[in-house]
Amino acid sequence: MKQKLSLFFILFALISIFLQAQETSNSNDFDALMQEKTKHDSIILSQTSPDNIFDPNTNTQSRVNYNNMYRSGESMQKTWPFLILLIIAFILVIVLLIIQFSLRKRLKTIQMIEEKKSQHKTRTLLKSIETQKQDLLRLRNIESNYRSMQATQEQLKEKVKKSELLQKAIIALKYPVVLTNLHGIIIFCNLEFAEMHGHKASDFLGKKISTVFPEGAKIMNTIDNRQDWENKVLKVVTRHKNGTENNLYCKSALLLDADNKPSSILTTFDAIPEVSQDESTVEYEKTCKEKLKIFENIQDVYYEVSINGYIKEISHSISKISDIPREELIGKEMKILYANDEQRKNFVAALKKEQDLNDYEISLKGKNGSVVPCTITARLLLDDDKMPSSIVGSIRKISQRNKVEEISNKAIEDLKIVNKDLLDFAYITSHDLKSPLRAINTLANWVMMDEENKMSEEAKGQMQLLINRTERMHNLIDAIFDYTNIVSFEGEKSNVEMNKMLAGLQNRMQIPNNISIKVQENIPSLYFEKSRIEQVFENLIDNSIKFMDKDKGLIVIEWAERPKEYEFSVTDNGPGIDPKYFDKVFQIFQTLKPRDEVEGVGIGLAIVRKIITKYGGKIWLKSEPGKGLAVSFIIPKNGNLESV
Amino acid sequence: MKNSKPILVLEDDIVDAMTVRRALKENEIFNDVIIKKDGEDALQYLQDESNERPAIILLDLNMPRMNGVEFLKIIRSDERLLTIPVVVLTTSRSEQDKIDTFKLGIAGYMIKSVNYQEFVKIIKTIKNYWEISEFPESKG
Repeated sequence: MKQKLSLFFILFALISIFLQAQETSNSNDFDALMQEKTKHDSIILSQTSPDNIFDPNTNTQSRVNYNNMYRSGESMQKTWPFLILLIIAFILVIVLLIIQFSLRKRLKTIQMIEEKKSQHKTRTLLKSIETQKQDLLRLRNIESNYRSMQATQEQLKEKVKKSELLQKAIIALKYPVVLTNLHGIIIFCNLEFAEMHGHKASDFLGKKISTVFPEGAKIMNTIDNRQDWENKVLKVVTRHKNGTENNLYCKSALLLDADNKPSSILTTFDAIPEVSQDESTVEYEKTCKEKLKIFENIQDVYYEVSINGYIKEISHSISKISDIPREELIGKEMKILYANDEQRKNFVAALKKEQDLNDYEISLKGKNGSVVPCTITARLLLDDDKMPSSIVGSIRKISQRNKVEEISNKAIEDLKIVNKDLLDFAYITSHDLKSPLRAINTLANWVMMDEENKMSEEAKGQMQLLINRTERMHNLIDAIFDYTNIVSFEGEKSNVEMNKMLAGLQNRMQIPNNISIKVQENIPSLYFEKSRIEQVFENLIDNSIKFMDKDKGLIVIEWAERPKEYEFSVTDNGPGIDPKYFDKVFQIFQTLKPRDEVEGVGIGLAIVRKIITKYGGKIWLKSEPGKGLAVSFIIPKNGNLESV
Repeated sequence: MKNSKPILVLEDDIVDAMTVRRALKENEIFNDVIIKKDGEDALQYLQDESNERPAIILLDLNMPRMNGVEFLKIIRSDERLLTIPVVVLTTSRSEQDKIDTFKLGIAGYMIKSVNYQEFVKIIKTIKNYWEISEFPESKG
């Protein structure tokens, strides 16, 4: 623009000069103009190339034009140099414009090229920035990865610490054991596991379990449904370094951490015993047959029933109870065996509550519509989720003997109660019956004493009989009490020196002079209730004295030792007893002679037998009527009822 | 007897009570005889301090309301009555009764004979024992 302005300025200057010159018009001006023109030309020539528009021809033409103008008149003669000058200036301006245009064009091209160049540069720069950014991101990623890895490592370290105990346990096991994390990476294994493969334990750490045996991967991939493999035995094959195969049983279990979350998997191995196929099968069949034989011969019925009540297995012995053969029962409902549906329901309910039951009483349907009382001993089996899966148990017939036992037990219980009642009864009645008797006796005595002089001899005799009868009845009542007391009263036992005891007894009993008693020496001491054994001998000696019919009476006491018992005998030379009365004399209140002849209650032998049998002994009689009686009895050593 | 203090007899049967009275008389024992029909009556008598303390107690075991053993237990836990000698006079031949009462510190256990003459002898034995044995002086 500056250039254009300057050109117009020059042009304006030339025009103004031309107008001034017209007014003065002298030849000097012309010369000056010519000079100016030449000057212009030379400038143009120096600036343009030789083949430019100002070639010699054009130059010549403009000279011609000059000449023509010069010739055309006088006024004309005065203006033409200015005209030429104007034209030249005009041309000059055009030329300048053209030059400017071309220059501009060039500049533009150069600018475009420059622009393109700079654009390219920017792009390259941006690209490099982008790459750097990505690098930075990658670095950050790496850093965070590194950090998380560090954290995991820390965690792992902690876990390893915690599982130190587990590791020790694994080391202590003689079976190969391997511990893996949930991704199947081996985190620990024992020496047995390593040696089985011909490696060091450290060789396995960090390796995938599936590289040891392919089934390992399966286990790891199914942690969520671990019931598929947990506690189940898999057969796997692993390889030793030298190429030999290890045939193994393997069993895995999921270990939980303190938060009950799965933490690792423990897998143990056990070598499958190398038995040739044939041998093992034969052996197996043999044991099976043997077991079956035992199974078939057992009286009890063994069975397994699914939790919904269907018989899975039942032993052959069911045929002893039910009409339905074993083969038909399998798969049927258990309740068809029961005589009462309710009973089965109650049994299952009780079993679910208790987990196992012993001697639970039930009734089964027997043969020909009978009902068989049985007892069941059963256990509830649980599956892996601790849910009841089936019932196994045994059924036993309550046999006749058991029934008898039951009845006799009940009878014994009843008897105990009756006995106690009887004792209470005996105690109370003896007291209550004796009181009035004593009163009668006493009052009769007073009448006898106070009115002795007023009474006839006959009346006196009758009063005496009255008194005697009251005394007899008193004795009978005492006898009942004594007899029942043998059972009820349990005195303390002690070592009774028999010879000493018998000597004391003789002193106390006031033996008549015509009767002598011979006691065998060295009778061993008895561990017994002293008052009881004393009573036995007292009653026997008393009987012999009471019934003695010979002038010189003799009572012999002898003893003998047997392996488990002592035998004693009291033999006299009295009247004896006809063997047909042997049973009778042992009964309470049974006498062989009228009480008026021989005052006796008839309780002596009954009490003796009661005492002897209470302590587990036996008593029997031997007699030759007229010549004497031998009462023999045995007492178990230690005289202990509990030991019998 | 040794002193003039009364004899306390626990006896629910009138004839037995008469027997005791008569047997005592026959044995020339002229102390007062106080007869109570059961343990409760006797305790009431003993706990009343205006009553004279008995020299001896003759005790029947089978009585209504409070029996002999129950009565013994109570007087043996009473500091004031502890030292009074007690002789059991009963029809009971039960070993258990003998053990129970001797554990409660009785001076004797006599079984009432059905025969009156026998009974007089028993009372005589008690008298003899009474006259020979020394007893603590009562504080009551």
